[in-house]
Amino acid sequence: MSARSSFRPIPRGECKILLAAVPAPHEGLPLNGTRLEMEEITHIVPALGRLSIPLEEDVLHHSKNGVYAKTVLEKLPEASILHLACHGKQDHNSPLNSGFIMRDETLTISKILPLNLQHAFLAFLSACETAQGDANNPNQTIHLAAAMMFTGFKSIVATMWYV
Amino acid sequence: MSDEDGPLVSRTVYEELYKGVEPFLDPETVPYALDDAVRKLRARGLTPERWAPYIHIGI
Repeated sequence: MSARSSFRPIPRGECKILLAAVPAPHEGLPLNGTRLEMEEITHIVPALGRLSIPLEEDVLHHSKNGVYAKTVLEKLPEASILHLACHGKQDHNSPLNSGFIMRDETLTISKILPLNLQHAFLAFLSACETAQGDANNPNQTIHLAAAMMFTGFKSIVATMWYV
Repeated sequence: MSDEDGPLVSRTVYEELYKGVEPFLDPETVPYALDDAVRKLRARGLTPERWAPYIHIGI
């Protein structure tokens, strides 16, 4: 992989972060603590450095349900950093159909791949546990994290839940 | 991992990444910052299932 050679340093003032949380996914268990997590990030990242999303989808504006898949797809090309707080979902038959469970549908790797993510640097995949609470699936997060490398992100932090 | 650990880990990573005044953000800080965050969780005497589930891949 040529992540290091293709990486361009990001000027601090141009670094945009997309904060996407899904406290109430259309399938799977609700996620607690996403608003607190996002609030903590806003104490560190300047407001100008945050990409805006519709208020109705923004946990920082008390959205109960969170972000739609299409909002992430729309905003991602502008983002240097993606912070995603949601469940992950693995499709064993079709790995590119694995992805992240948003408010309305699964945001699959296949939908992210065609995007031109010129600014993509860091993806922080937080609380990506399996939707069904399947204890036999600890590798899922590694697969999703690796798949995100193919979409253009150079650095991935991910959490693996052991349910 | 539990619900209160996530905020600590992401806070530590972003604090390290955004720290300082250099004009460019340094990707090298990310894995070290994650390591710092995990050490903090360990220092609280937490059991491994609370601090083990964090990975970093990439640059």
